[in-house]
Formats: sequence, structure tokens, C-alpha cells
Amino acid sequence: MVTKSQQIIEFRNVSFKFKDHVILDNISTTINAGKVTTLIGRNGAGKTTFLRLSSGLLKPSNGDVFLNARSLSDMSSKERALKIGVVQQLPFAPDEMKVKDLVMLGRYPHLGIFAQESKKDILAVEEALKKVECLPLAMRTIGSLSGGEKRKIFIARALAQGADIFLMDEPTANLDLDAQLNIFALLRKLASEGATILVVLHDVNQASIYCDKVILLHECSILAEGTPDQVLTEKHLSDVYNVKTSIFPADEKFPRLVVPVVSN
Amino acid sequence: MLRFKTVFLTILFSLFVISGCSNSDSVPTPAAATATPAAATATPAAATATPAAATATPAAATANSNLSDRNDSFPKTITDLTGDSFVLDGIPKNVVSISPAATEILFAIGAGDSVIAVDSFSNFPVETESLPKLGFQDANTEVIVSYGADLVITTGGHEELTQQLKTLGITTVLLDGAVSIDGIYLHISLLGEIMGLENNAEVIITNMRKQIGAIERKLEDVENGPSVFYELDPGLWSVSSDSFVGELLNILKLRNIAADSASSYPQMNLESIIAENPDVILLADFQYGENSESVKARPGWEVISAVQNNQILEIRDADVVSRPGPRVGNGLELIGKLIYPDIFD
Amino acid sequence: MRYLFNNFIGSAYIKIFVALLILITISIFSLSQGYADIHFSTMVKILWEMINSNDHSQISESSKLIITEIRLPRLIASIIVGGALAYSGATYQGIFRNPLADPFLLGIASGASFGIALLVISPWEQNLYIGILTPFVAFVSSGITIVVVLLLARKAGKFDNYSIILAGVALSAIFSAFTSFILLTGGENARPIFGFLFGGFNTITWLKVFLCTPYVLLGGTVIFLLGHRLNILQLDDDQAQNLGLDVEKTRIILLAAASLIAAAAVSMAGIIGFVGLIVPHMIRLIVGSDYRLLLPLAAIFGATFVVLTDIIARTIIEPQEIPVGIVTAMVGGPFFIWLLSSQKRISM
Repeated sequence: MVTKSQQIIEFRNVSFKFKDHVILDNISTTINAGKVTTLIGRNGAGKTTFLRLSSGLLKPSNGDVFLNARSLSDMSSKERALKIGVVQQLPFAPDEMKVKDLVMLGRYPHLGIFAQESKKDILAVEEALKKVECLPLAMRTIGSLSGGEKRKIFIARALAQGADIFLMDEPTANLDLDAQLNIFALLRKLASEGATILVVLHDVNQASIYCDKVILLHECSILAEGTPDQVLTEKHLSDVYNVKTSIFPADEKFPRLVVPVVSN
Repeated sequence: MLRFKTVFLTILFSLFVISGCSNSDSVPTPAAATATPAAATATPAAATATPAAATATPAAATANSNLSDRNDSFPKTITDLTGDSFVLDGIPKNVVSISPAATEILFAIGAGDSVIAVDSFSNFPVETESLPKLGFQDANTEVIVSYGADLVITTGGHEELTQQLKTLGITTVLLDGAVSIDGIYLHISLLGEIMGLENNAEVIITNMRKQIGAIERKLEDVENGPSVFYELDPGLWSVSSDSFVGELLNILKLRNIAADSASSYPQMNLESIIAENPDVILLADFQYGENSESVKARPGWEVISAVQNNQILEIRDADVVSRPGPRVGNGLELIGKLIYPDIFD
Repeated sequence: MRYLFNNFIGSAYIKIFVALLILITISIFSLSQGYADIHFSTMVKILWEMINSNDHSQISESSKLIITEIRLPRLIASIIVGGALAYSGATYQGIFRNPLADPFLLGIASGASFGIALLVISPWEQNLYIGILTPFVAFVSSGITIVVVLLLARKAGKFDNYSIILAGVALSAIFSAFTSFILLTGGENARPIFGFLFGGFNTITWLKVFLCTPYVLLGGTVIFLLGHRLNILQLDDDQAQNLGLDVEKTRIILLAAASLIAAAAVSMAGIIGFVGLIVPHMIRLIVGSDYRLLLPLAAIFGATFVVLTDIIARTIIEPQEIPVGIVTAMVGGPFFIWLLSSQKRISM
């Protein structure tokens, strides 16, 4: 999965309204290839909507979302599926479904009219499972997997799609520590290979440590965007979360750390 | 959803076919109309004397018997056909009939004046036209009560309604659909007893016996009547000998190909109809557009001898044939004329 | 490493072939069963002559007629109706992700019954046996019902499962109520409605078969081409959309096709329940939930099921006939109970 071209998602003056409620207001930003970009903000700030606009699931009320200068709404579902892989927070899959079959569903945009899998598709699924280090799980059922394993399988499916863009909604929620580290290691690896990655995170420290770019959403618009150092400042965090924080800058031993100050 | 309805409908259907036969919607023919006025205008004193033929024109007779004479026998205890007894203090004056057969009987024995309301299928005699119609399966207890009924006659399928009315203290008699002619005689006697018109009832019964006796005599020389398929419905439903119509077919010495079926109103398998090769097809479903031509056009039916010999006979007055009432003799004659045109005129 | 995947193509074709073989065997058996005593070899000769347009005078006209004008159209109708109902049922279960869905979920049965009820009590001569009015009315009533259901769902805002099912249940209830009312007050006049409600092949003719089959073929082809999408629809709508499926369009097209073939089946033989509900489950227990295999196998087994139940319906209490809808219910009920007690849990 080596990207030949850089896949860039660009929001140009995007607004989104839902029944007279403004969720996003005049957003313009870029999500670049080869980087892990994160979306941070309060609950209800519009992060999930942003993600759904990025995948083309939703259409903006105003403005447009572009994929390499091509509007997402001009693309068919299949075209988008060939490029964008979405990993939801709690995706449904039948418990009895086998892992290999779930990942194979990712090949749908590649299959012909009768959806017959070819050797190429089977190879793609194997490769995807290998990449997330889950090949031994191939014949297991979804119901028998742990949380972390499930997450990785859904990422494998996105890989099997042949996507170069990965949109993930809280990929480490409810995971054990080791599983969390596993996921981030995978994301960093994918980014280093040229993938375009956008994750929604809640944990500002995870954002600090693992992400190259942070987009801070607050009250329907982007409060700040840039590197974690630039965005996750005491002032911004106080504006958004009403919390005093102490920031410990990175040094040789430790990464940058944001610690909320608890007042008695 | 609908699958539970299937079970429910099976039950409803069974109830319907039990009670269904007495509720046809059709126009009475002139032949049927002549017989009954003779019976209805009989005097109580006439008894068994009159040797009138079955199709006698209306004999000169007084209308109803003396009310005072009738009242002499009250109060009396009546035992109905199920063995239950009840006490009647006086002649019922406000009779509601939810049974087309009972309606006919009531008018035939001279109790027509006391009938204040009937069911929606009571269409004979002509006096019923002006009477309020109270539905049939959907007849409502409250409505009946609001009419101030002091006697209600019900029929098969009305078991619950009957119970409700009895609980409310209204004298209710359930006349279960008679399956034999003798059953009809019992009904007539019972209603005669209830209305204080025993003598009239006897006359009716006697006349009916004569009429039917005459029919049976005409058929004495018939060894084996033709085999017949009696079609109730275009889905090929028929009647077995366990049904009222089946009994009539028996009397007419017809060999009903569905006679021994498990249910009273069986659906006949098409192949078996063709294999049995009936000599005659009796159509009781002409109101759905089935007639001689349409039957001939049915694929596969051309090998049946009834079709080849043009013996597809329509029953135009289904009421008379399927209602266990005083006109049953007319029903027999109707079918008899269709099948044995030489014998019956 | 190819060990992971059995080649879909290989084993699927074998299973389908075996299923077809069973269907053909039972079909031939069906032709030999019936009230009239027709020897097996005679039956084969008659079929042979029919195919070759010969005419041996040795075989009786009545035997020939029974095979070619009664048993054969009956068999073909059973196959088409059984296949259509099971195909439709499996599709409905896939679209709605609900194991209790069946082709009559959205009111096709109630709508058709109501249309037929109106026809039967109407003063026009209906020629219910040979006429084409019955299939026509049933078909049109079913069609109208589905269209109204979809319009109601659209009015509610979205074509999601919830709105569609709600609209279907509502319409179903309304039409059922009206039909019951007609039955209640129609008396003797309403009798033929029961024949339709219980379903049956007793008065099937080649004409009815030819009238209704094109619709089954049309809808069936659509499902054949698009049915594999149901695999993806088993996930939630968002996932399916993100994987490249146009969820709303797929749902509507498959729904329309499944409803079309169910309406055609109902217009041919009345309401035959349980087939659309149970046969897909039976297949699922054997081969799992891959719709690429489930759909064709469901169709073939549905056909086999109805051919079998029709044999029972017309021979078990000869010369009397039990409406097929009752037989499928009698077979289906115990199966449901068994399903309840079996260890395997049905998943979609």
C-alpha cells in the first residue's frame, strides 16, 4: 500500500446545518497525506459531523469538501470507497460473521457484478490482515474477538478497500493500554507510508504524543489548528474545557504532557 | 401477523360454512312464491283435511287465528331442541329472528305479525322487505334489546349471542341449522308451540310431507339417479351428505361425488372431479359469473361427461335450495326439474 | 497462503446443483401423484409426447389431460410460487436485517385480500375460475399497497427500515380490518374470498401461469443481479454507505423487486404463508448467511417445499383438497417450535 499520489482532503468554507441548528460554521482546513491529523473538541462540538463530511456520507449545507481538488459530492459511493476507509467507533457486525468475510466486504468496490472474489481480492484481504497483525484470527468469528482485535479488524477492512485515507472515530476508546499503543503504532506506520489519517480523539495527551496536526473544534468552528505545541496550549484548553492545565514540554526522556490542575 | 390470521380465519370459515348455506342472496322465483301463501293462510280448524297439492294456489282462508284461543294455552313450559326448558308467560309479541329459515317458518305458520326485526339475509316472504335488518354475524345484543324483543330466534354461529341474550333475561331459542328434513319439521313444531300456533304448524308440516312425498313417489322408478358434482364456489367447494344440500341430493337419488368427504363443505380436488366424471354439474355459484359457457371453457373439463352432454345446470334460486325452511319442497322441485325434466313436468 | 478461503465458486455451484437435482426429482414424483391412477410410465410417455408434439392414440384423453392441463400447470405454478416467495422472503429478511420479516411484512397479503374481497362482493360477474380478473386485481392491489407504503415512508422523511416497516404494518392492519368487515357482513356472497385467503393451486390454469410468471422473472432477475449487496447491508447503513453501497437506492430497488415477485405469487395462488419466512431460515442453518448462496438456494428449496406441500394438500384426504396455505402453516408451525428449542441462534 504505497501511495503513488498524495490524497488530500480539503474543506472550503464548509457549513453544516441540521434542522436550523448550526453544527459547523464556515470551516476551511486541510488534512494532509503522510500525517496523523486529529480532531479535538468537546462532545457536541461537531467532530463526528466533521468526520462524516470528510467521508462524503453527509453533504455540506454550504461550501464543499474536496479530495485532491475533486468535490466529494461529484464522486459515487464506490469511487469514494476506493479511496476512503472509515472506522466507526461502534460499528455493528453480526457475531457469527467470520473475520475473513468481514474484511472481504471491504473489497466490494473492487468486485464485479456478481461479487465473486478473485485471487487478487483474497490476496488483498490476507495482506490487510497481515498489516494489522491479525492473520491468525482470520477464521474466528467477530463475536469471539476482544475489543482491540475488533478495532484492528475494522482497520484491516479499510486497508482491504485499498484506501489511502483513513477516517477514525475514537479508535482507542475502551481499549486496554497495550491495545491502544498497538493502534497508534499502526497509525504511525501507515502515515509513514504516505496515508492520510484523520482521527477523532478525546485524550489530549494521545493527541500530543501521536499526532502531527491538531484541529481544535470549538463552538462550530476551528479555534486553532497546527502542531500539538501550537494548539494544545493552556489558553486554548482553558477556553474550550474551562480547565486549568499545566503543560510539561517534551524532553529527551518524556513526551509532551498536559496535566489538568485540580483545585481543591 | 397474517399467519395468525390464517388460524383465526380457519375457525371463522368453519363457522361460516356451517351457517353459510342458509344465507344466500338471490331472487325468489315465481314457483317458490306460489306454495307458501297457501300454507300461511291456513285456518287452525282446517287440520289435516285438505288434500291440496304442494303447489296449490292460495286457498281462501282467514288470516290469523283468534288471539284469545291462542292465549289459552299459556303460560307453558317449552323444551327446546337442546333439552333446555324455559317458561313462556304469554305469546311473544316482539319476535326478532336472526335466522332466515326461522323467519320463513314464522311467517308460514302465521306469526308474521309478531316479527319486528330480522337479519340481513331474511328476504322471504315479501313482508320482510319493510322490516329492519339487524345484520347477521354482526348482530348486536344492544340493538336487539333496544327493540324490546321478548323472543329471539338464532341459528348456528350465534352461540355467544344466544348466551348473552339469555343472560339478559330475553327468551332466546337457537335453531341449529337442520341437516335433515325431519329437522325442519322439529323446528316448525317448536316455533308453532312457542307462538301458540301448533295447529298451523301441523298444517305446514303436513303440506310439506305431501309435497315431498309426491316428489319421492315421482322418483320411485328411478333406480340410480345421475352422478352429480354440486359446485358451491368457483374454488370447487362442494357439499357432502353431512350437509343440508347433501341431504336434498340424497332424496333426489343423485349420486353426489363428494358425498363421503370428511367435512360437510369440502373443497374438491380438480383431478378427482375429472376422474369421477359426473353426469351432471349443478352450479350454485352462478352469481360469480359461473355458467354453462364458463365451465366448458375450463381447461381439462372437456372430458367430463356432464360437459360433453351439456348437463351443466344452474341453480338460480340458491336460497330455496339451501335454507332449511318451509320451502324446502320447492327446492327439491327446482333441482328435480333441472335433472329429471321428464318426470317433473 | 491460500488456506484461508474456500473458493466460493466451487462449493456454491455444487450445492446449487444438488438442490436442483432434489427439486427435479420431487417434481417428477409430484407428477405421478394424484387421485387419478396414472401409471408412471404412462405419465412419462405423455410428457414425452407433449415435448415432441406427438399423438399416440393409445393413451386415454382423460389421462393426457390430467397430466398436461392439471398436474403439470399445478407443478409449474408450485415451483414458481414457492421459489418466488422464498426468494422474496430471503430478500426482505436481508433488507430489514430481521429474521421475522417475510414477503407479507409490508401488507401485500392484506392489500391483495382486500382487493379480492371487493371484487367478490361486487355486482360484476367475475368468472373467478377462468377469468384473469382475479390475478389482475390481486396483483394491482398488492402493487398499490407497496407504493402507498413507500410513499408514506418517504413522507416521514427517510427510507430507513423503521419508517417502512411502520407504514407497512399500519396499512396491513387497515386492509385486514376492511377485509374482515366484508367477510363478516357479506355472508354467503363472501365465500370465495376464503379460497383466496387460504391459497391453493386447485384451479390453476396455464393462462394464470403465463400471466404471472413474467413478473416473477423480472423481479427475480433484479434480485439475482443485486442480491449480493445484501451481505453488506447486514452491517449498519453508515458502514454500508462508506463501503461504497448506495444504501437508499439499493434498498428501494430490492424492496420493489421482492414485492413484485411476491405480488405475482399471490396473484397466482392466493396467500400462502410460512414459505417466505421459514425456507430462508432453513437454508441459513445449512449454509450460513452469505446471500450469494442463500438467495438461489432459498428459491430452489422454496419451490421444493411448495411442491411437497401441494402433494400433501391434494392427496392426503382424497378426493378432498386442503388449501395449500393451511398445509404450509401446519408444517411451518412445528418447525418454528423446533427452531426455538434448537441451540443454533439465527443471525442475519
